[in-house]
Amino acid sequence: MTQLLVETRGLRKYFNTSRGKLHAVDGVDFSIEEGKTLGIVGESGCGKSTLGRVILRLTDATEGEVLYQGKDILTYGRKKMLDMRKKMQMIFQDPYASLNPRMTVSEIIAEPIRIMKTLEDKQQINRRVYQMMNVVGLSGRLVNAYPHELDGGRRQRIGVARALAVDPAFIVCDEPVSALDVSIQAQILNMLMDLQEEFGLTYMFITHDLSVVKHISDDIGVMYLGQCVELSSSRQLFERPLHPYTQALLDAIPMPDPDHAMGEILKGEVTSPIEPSPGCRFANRCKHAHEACLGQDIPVYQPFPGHQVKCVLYQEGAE
Amino acid sequence: MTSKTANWEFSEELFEEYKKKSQIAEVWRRLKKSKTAMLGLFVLTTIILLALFADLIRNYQSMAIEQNIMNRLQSPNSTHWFGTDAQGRDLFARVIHGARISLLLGFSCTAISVFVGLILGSVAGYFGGKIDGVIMRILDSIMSIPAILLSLAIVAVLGQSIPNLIIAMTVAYVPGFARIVRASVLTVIGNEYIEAAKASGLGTFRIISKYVLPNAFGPIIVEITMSVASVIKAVAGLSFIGLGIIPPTPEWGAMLSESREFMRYNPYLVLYPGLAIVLTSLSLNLLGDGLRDALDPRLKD
Ligand SMILES: Nc1ncnc2c1ncn2[C@@H]1O[C@H](COP(=O)(O)OP(=O)(O)OP(=O)(O)O)[C@@H](O)[C@H]1O
Ligand SMILES: [Mg+2]
Repeated sequence: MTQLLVETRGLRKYFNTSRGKLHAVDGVDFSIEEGKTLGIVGESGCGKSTLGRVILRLTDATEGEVLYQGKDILTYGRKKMLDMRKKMQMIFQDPYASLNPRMTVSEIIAEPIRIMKTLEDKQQINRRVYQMMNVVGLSGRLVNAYPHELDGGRRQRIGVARALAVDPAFIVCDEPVSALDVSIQAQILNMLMDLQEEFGLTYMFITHDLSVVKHISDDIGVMYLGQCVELSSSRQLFERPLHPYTQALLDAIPMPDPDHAMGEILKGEVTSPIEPSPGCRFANRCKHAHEACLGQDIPVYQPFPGHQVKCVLYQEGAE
Repeated sequence: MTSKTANWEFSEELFEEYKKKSQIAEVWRRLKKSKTAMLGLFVLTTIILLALFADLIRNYQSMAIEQNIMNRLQSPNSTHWFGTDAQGRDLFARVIHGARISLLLGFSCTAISVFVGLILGSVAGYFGGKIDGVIMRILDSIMSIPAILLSLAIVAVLGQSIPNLIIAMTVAYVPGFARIVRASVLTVIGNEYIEAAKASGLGTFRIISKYVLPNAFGPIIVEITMSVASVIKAVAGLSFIGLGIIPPTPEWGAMLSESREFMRYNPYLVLYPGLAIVLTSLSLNLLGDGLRDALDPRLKD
């Protein structure tokens, strides 16, 4: 019997900007089972990173709940949250910006251990650092190297080792391979999948690349301008995409088969995330759009078991 | 599976070697490689030593303070290396004794302004929003008053003394530092390693001191080295209008302004105090540049 590890309820994050409230994350509900991977896809600026950061409390949520094993961690005080951080870690997007240039590899990996005091003895910490480097395939010779001496792939391995050092259960991977060479992307992805199996990790895997997420995810959530417009198992989503936006994304994946006609490329401007008017945010780019899409917020429909979509086309009795 | 096949021997030595190398010794080793930084360090040390042992070299009371009209305005010669001023005081004695007050003023004002500027600037930059707005508006209003007027007003209110002079200078210099700190903090905090530190549970104060400031320090060091000389010059300005150092106390800036009437025919009167200011600021500058590079592991060798 699998159980839910992480769950969000009505999660919102608004940024105050000079032009008004920017709805970066606007009511996201999902849940991730222990040991599974939830992929989050969506184009640049739709709030994927913000979602990850809010879940890990790197930034304060405006509204909503983040449940870890059923308890809302957003209510936790400083001390309890520090304990929580041992369970939840993050792998960052840009391996060139996510490592402090003034710290050596071993200092970087040891940092979370030291702060959270999962180990106190110096030699034990060193051993743990060494073991982590081993786990992510970094040569032990690099303990005293500085990040700038290493290539992107190795740097990202340091980022992975740092996240794993305190033995977490849940890891938010924020586009961990998008900044890397294609040849290295596969290596890192495979490593992440191996690590998941070995340590029983639960992932939230953020990406803008559907072909990456297909491999690694059990479930997929599609985000558009701060909202989760479709959520289902990975298989269902690829076999039967429901939301017009998801369909457009899938059509845009380049196919090796020359006879396969590329779907229509998305046209139209992305609506501004600053104080959007109620209604479907995709409407101005959607070929199915009609009056029902505008004026009021679109509820979530579930036309098939376990397959949720935020689109009036699937309203009961529609069409 | 990576972790099962690979099997490196753990060796404590690798970590030991690192510990020995790092810390101050490593920075020193790299600083030594820079010839200009070493030159700066040498000149600065010499000036500081001269100031410290000034009493052993030239007597303060009889050489630097007491007037001796018989000897006035002598050009540099074997007894008076730098010549004598209009009151017949030995200029060399006044320069090395003056170093004490000039360096004290230059360094203490800079140190206090840097300290306060670091706190205000990093808080403003790191937290942003309203805190940033309030701090920066207050600093802006201080900056809108010309530094010399501001110091003048403060000294006039508090009274003419060296501690008050330090307070006056510090108030005038803090806003500049705070701005530079804030600007470099802003360029640093966008980096994901700050987020990573948060995710590791590091507190705000430690994030600022361990992650933000070390990476923001380059421009700040340069500003520090410029500021010492600039403070000395500002004191000269105050002395000029009679609100700085009270004569006959020797101080480089004050000496410059005292000599203004005689400068035309006795240029050495401004040459030596001026040179002292220039050398101090130049050596600090060279040292600061070298230090900035030595502290940055990216520029290793
Ligand atoms: N600190 C902030 N202040 C104001 N707006 C922000 C802030 N951080 C993010 N945003 C805005 O929130 C929205 C979502 O940003 P986010 O970084 O989460 O997008 P993303 O989906 O991760 O994009 P990418 O694929 O480019 O990483 C964007 O419009 C962005 O401009
Ligand atoms: Mg992002």
